Amino acid sequence: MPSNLLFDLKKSTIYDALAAEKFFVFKYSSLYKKILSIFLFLTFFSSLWFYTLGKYTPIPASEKISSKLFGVFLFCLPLYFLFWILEEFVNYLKNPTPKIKIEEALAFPEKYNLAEFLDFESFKIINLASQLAQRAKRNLNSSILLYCFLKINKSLDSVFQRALLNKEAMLKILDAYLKTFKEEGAGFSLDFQNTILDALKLAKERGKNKITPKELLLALAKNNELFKRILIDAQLKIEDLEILIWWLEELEKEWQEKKEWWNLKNLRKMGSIGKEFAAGYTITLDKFSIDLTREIQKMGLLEIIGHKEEIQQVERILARREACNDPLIVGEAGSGRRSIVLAIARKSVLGESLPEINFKRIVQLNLPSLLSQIENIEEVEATLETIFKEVISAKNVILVIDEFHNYVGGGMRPGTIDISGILTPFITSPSFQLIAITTYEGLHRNIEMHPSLLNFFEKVEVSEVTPQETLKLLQRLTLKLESTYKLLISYQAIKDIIKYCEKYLATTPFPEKALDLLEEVVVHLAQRKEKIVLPKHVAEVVKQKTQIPVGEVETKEREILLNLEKLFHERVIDQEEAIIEISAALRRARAEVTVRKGPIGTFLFLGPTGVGKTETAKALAEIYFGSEKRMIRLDMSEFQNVTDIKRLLGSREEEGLLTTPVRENPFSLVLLDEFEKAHPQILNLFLQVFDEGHLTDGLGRKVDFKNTIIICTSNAGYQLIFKAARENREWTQVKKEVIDYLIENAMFRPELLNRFDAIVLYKPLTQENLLAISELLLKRIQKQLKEREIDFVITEELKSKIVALSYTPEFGARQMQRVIQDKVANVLAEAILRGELKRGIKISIDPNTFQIIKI
Amino acid sequence: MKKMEFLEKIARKLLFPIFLHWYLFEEPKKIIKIWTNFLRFGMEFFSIPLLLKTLFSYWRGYQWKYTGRGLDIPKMLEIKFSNFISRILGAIIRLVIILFGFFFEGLVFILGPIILTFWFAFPIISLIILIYAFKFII
Repeated sequence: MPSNLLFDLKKSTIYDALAAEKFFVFKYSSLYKKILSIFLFLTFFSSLWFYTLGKYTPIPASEKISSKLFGVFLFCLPLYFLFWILEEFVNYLKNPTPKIKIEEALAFPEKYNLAEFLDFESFKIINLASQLAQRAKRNLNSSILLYCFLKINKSLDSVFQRALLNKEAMLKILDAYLKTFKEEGAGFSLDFQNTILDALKLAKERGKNKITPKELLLALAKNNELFKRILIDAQLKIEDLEILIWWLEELEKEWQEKKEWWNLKNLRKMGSIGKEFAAGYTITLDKFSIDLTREIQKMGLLEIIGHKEEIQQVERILARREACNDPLIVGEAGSGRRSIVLAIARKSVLGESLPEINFKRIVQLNLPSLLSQIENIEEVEATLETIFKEVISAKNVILVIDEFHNYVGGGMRPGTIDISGILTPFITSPSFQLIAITTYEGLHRNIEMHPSLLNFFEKVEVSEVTPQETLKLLQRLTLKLESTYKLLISYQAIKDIIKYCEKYLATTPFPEKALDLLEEVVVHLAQRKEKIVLPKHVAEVVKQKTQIPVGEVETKEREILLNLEKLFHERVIDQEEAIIEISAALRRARAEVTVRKGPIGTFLFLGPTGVGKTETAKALAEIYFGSEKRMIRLDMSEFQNVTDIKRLLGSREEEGLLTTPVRENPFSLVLLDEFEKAHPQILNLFLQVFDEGHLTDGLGRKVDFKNTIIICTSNAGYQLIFKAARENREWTQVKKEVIDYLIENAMFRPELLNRFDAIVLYKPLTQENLLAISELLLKRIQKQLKEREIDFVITEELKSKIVALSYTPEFGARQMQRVIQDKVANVLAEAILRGELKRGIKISIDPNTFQIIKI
Repeated sequence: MKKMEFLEKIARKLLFPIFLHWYLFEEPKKIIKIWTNFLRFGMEFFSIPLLLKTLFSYWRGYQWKYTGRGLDIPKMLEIKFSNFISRILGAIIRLVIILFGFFFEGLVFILGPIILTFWFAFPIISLIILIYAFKFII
């Protein structure tokens, strides 16, 4: 970093503008102009009034007054123009074009005066900071600069407000800091120099030739330690500030563009009157359609965000001069399929698309309305034929059919019609341009049944809008909602909406889910008559919608991860190594030390039956996801044939046993029991899930596994585990042997085993473990009885008896639950029903007879 | 004192040449840009090239086809005549729009130089207006 940065404010061109602005003629030119405009208005109309008065009434002075007033009007007129010219000139002075390029200045910052690259506002801020530093006989540093920025800049107030940054509080912090900070000097400190250079780099990146206050603030956020700390306290990153600033810049650009009404783009918005006269009438079509071109014009030709590639693809297909010029837009409902069509309508109005599309009408056929108005099928078909003929003869219509699958191949159902027969003769004509919209499900279920019709279409698959694009859409909606509900939506809340939607509302695609959630949050707040939308409000609404304790999960997650072992042991007895391994793997995964694409965690639990594998999974579901209900359990022994893939992933006929529950509840634990018994090709499917974190279901929909924990259990190699337990061997060596055994016997492929976050070995249970488990289970009954004020004493004899009755080496403790139910719970239930157990009673169970003993 | 300093500064930096450059080159460039925008907009708004290209096309696509059997000359002539009328009607209406378009373009074409002249002659015009104004006042 150069220590001798050339930065001389007084030698910069913009200094003239500052000088001119302070000169009273320039300084008040805008005010003079306003006063004169009022004068012009008053003198003109009063002169006219006196003139009329003189004409029709015998007041002698009227005409004289009128003439004098007209004289004043004429006097003011050139003055008005003069001040208007001066105002424009000062604006021109404020925006001088630097004589050298930013790239050059950045390469030699000690050679060129970098103050030349300041815009008027930034110049004023730095000029004030420089004066302040000079007065205090100090180096000009970034803190003084930030202080002056906050003091005089008003243009970025909205950014501070939305980011929940209190300018006054920041000023106080800076004031206190500057009072204590003593650094003698008369130059520029290093952080100041870095700020200027960073601001210059940012301006270059944004394609500007000047540093505006926006770049200055961002550079300060990068270089000023105090500002960095303030941002961290407000839970903001520099990137967030960047997003907020560029958002404001785009809005300003939009306003500026609108203000310059003489621009060709603005003039084009008026449309045209001649084009219609070159096209044919579409009387029947107009009756049963929605004109999307008019719709987008009514929306003020708003720019459509996202789907750039898809829009280009649709344009390319439509522009072909051959029969196959009809795009079939395929995507999930809510993924913005219709917005692609609106984008094309917008480009067509502005003449920004291809010649085959420009200035054409994009019209959506309203088939539901047609079917509800005409009941007779033959009449419907005749009407449709007329409509299609009109589309061809009009020569300026691009037809859109939404939910195309409802009208193709579905047979005749009430409210629908199969139009494939009527459509085919028309679709072969290159002058018939049709955009069909459908879903993946509709495509596979109905449209693919008509391959001849499908041949005329080219598929355009709509990918989900990215979170960044969704953020832009949310920003647009934010402004609308703020003006409707008169409240402020904080940036942190907008950020959380995207975060929660991505994590907890995976069924619906972006952007719809995020836009809906924002509206819901705002309505929720309006009901409570609060004025600022905060992250906690978003968490509240998401909690109501999903029943997931959002917010709490976020804050509790760290606590949970740190105490995983303890929490596990409240439910799972022993298996110390296994629990340590699971906890460590989960912590590794959640600390995001490495970039992860797959699920939260993937584990393979190996061990004999009844040793606590499923119990661990249940415990994990409860600890991590808040409830055992958040567990999707599949017995993989039911998927031993390759044909079972269909059952797992779903098909046209049935829902997927794995994919559908995960799509509906993406924040879940997936337990795959007896994993080794599944068909090898099914196991291969999981390679992608473990690696990429997603799977494509039978209908072509992407199913996200990123928020799941996947636990696979297997008792393969349990003989080895039993043997090792008997021989009391080193456990890490046993694990290696078991894994080798699994690979040698072709139960699992090495690449699959490598993809697990941890392979966890469960030991057979010892006598002590079993006693502890029986105690754990009996304590659950004890707790229930305590609520009825019945004191149930658990004796050692009872525990031993239950262990003796329930334990078999093959099934571990699996029988224990049933034995306790039969021998203890049933006896107690009957006694309660018979009224033998009164409140306050103290009881125990005889281990031999299993009769109640009153103590 | 400060004001004097600034006046000196303005004089030293010679704002007047900058003003002249802006007044005689920069702003006229902007006016010419706006003028060409309006000329282009007029062509697009009245769709003059498109209407000229389709001048004799059927009016709103209305055309009749002979669907009868055999040689029904009166019917064929009637259809020919109907189609001819459709084309003539189309041409008349398109021509009206084209004429309106040309009128608008002509107006803009004349207005541009007028505004530009007014801009350059503003000092003289304002002087004349001021003289007139004094005459009215006195």
